[in-house]
Amino acid sequence: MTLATGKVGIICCSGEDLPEGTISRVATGLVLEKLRPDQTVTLCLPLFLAGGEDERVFARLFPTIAVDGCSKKCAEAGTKKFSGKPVATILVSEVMKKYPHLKIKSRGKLEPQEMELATKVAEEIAKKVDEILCKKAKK
Amino acid sequence: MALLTMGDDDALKLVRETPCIAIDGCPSQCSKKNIEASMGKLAHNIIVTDVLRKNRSLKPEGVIELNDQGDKLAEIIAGMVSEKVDEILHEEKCE
Repeated sequence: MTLATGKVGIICCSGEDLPEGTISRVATGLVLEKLRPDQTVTLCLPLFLAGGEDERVFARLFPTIAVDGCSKKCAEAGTKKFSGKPVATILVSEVMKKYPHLKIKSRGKLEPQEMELATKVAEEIAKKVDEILCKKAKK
Repeated sequence: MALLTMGDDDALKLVRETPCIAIDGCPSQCSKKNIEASMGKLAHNIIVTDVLRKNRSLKPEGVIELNDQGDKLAEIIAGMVSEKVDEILHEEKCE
């Protein structure tokens, strides 16, 4: 990972137990690859414990968004514990409540409905990225 | 794995009482390190990049959605993990 200014770090859930974890990772991928590729970088949550100094330093110096699958909020808590509090947390289980017609069950390849939910989550992340960068620009 | 990072009691108990296979995407080996740091029972570890080196004809692509070659590599790794699971369970049965 290369440190860069004008970027927002995205720290994503690494849970495998629930489909929400998969949704969080696909949504993060959509933001990084398609929606905001030039404004975002991803930080590896497990590297925080494994002692990834680059990840810890980035999260201390730059704004971060945690994307969590469930209410345990490991990404938010892990970032807070080893670096600094994320500026925002997007919780997949909360986003799901806004779209009750979208049902999810896959932990592997996503079905069309699940991909639609991942896209909704990705849009919320992207919106938050814009807010953070806009605030930074105004300062 | 994130639960291990957070020191979740149930997750810690599980890795300490159950043989674990770490499957790591890159040489940083975070899964392995997290199991070791949690004093878990690491029975085996697989690094995806090592498997890829042995299967150079495969060119996995796509983070959001894997291409067919990525799926093939995932199947190979799943096969390796399943074999190891059988070995571990067989050894436990023989003990």
